[in-house]
Amino acid sequence: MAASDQDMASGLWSGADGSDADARPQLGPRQRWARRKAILQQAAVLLLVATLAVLLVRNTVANLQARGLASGFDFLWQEAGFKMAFSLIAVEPTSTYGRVFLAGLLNSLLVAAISIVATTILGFIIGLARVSPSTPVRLVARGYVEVVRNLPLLLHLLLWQTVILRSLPTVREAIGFGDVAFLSNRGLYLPAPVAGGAAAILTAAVMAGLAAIVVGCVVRRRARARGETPPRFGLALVAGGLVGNAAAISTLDWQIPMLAGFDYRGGLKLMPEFVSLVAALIIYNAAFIAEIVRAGVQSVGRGQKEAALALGLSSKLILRLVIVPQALRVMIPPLANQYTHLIKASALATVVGFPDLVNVFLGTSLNQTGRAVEIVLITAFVYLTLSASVALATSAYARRVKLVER
Amino acid sequence: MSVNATIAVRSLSKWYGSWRALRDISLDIAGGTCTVLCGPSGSGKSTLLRCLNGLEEWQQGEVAIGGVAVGYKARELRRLRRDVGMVFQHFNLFPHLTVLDNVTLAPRIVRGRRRGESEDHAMHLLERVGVAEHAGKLSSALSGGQQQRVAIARALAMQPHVLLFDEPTSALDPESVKEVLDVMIDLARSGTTMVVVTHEMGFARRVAGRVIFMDKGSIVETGAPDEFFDCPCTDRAKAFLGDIVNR
Repeated sequence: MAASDQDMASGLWSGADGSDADARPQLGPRQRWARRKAILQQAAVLLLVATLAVLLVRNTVANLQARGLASGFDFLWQEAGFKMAFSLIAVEPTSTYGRVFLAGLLNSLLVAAISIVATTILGFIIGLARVSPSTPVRLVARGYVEVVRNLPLLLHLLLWQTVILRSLPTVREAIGFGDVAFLSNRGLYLPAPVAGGAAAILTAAVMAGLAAIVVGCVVRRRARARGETPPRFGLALVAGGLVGNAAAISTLDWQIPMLAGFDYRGGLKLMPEFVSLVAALIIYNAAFIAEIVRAGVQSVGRGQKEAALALGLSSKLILRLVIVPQALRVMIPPLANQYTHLIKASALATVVGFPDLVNVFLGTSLNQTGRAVEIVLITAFVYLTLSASVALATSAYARRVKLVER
Repeated sequence: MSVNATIAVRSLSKWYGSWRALRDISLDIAGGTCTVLCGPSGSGKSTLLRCLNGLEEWQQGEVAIGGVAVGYKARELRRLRRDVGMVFQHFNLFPHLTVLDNVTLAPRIVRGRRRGESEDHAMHLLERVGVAEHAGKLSSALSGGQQQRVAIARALAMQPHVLLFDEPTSALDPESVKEVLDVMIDLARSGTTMVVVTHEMGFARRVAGRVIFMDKGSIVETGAPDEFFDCPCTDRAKAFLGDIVNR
């Protein structure tokens, strides 16, 4: 701004003390007002919530005392007195409620983790089939989506529990997969690794290997983002980690399930309740993820495909290098939604009798201890934390792949 | 560029449903020349251009580039498109990749070039079109004119025998139009075989070897730019040029 032309304006608008006209004030009047308004509103809401919370707590405590019910979290250290049909950590009748909680949580996490990975893969395959140039492939995928997503999840679950798994052969006539895995009406038997004496060392080695791979990848990616050639030690870290992990895993003894008497011994036995829960979650959610994938792919402009075609790329490469990376951005929010839904829906484990967190903690433990408020609070906190983790992870990913919009 | 970049079109006809977009087009374009396709919108010029690299399918006739027929099988089309570059009206850069990756993607994936080698070549091309300093940015962060110049570099990176331009300046502001046209003029003068659909008559006058005027799916008139602009033979061409000048 040329001062000579703007004498009057600068006298009027930039303060009589003749301060520097280019110095930007911290906030404009509208921003100041907006901020003041926001503080007032937030204070009012905070006051309201705090009042409600105090009333709620006082009321609950009074009610509990009036009925002579015990309260507090001390029950977590008391003996639970029951066994769990399936758990990743040992749970004996002498174990505490705290350990039952932990075992239930781990079971829920196991179901959620396996289902999320598998349903994403299945959903992608079906979603891409929905946009396939081949009409039969499209029709089959469409049929899957329309049938599967329009049936209640509970129906899927009961279908697997009562129809499909019951109709499997008995243990003696189990379906074998290359003599290492077996499927019968009593569950799925898989080979399991036995680490022997050096389990801790082996776990540490595998963790170190994974860390090396991650660090190596990050180093290479950062260098590439700066437009430099990635340093050699990045590649060395990735290769070293892979080789080390392969070596560590190859030292494991795989215990293969063997028929002994009326059941298989050794290896990992997945109970039918687990198989039906996971199968239902995978198949049901895959239909929704397929629609998310289809919408994502169709959101990428036609020009992108044409530009890639004009460069001589094949359809498969166009999908992988051009379409899917762009579609992912659109897919992230609904995918996060679907994952959260899956985690919450895994609580349907109770219906088929799989000992997940809700079943053993919100169910059995609550019935035995009567600590309803505490147990509901803890369980709610767990699910809120899990959902928040999904939201955080996906929004971190979304930020990383964000496009610069003009 | 290659010696054999001649384009031959023989009685090409195309219908969209029952509407005939191209009517019995026959055309020969010599290698090393710049040809401008013009005409009112809906005249079929873009459709004709997109038939040359098989982005459009047609119902009758034949197209050949460098003596090789433009086929219908995916494999044949891929082989042809390696050697026929295309620049689009809306640039169609890959917004999730950096400028440099946009240019090196096809040479690396389709031609199997090594990263270092293709990046050196890409930087050379980006310098030629004047956007080298933006190489590391995401392509979506560039202005329209810059994006279109990157798109030209991306097409050149495959070292094509023929370059097709589909209204390359129609989506740009006047200043960017000049940036892009300067690059295209430079290319034309260096003897690149170019087929350009454009309304930029100044460009046609300066560097085109031949101007082809289309209307309603047919070639109405063709000639050297001076003849075409100064004394068009047909009434339709006169009307079209009158519209453009008076606009």
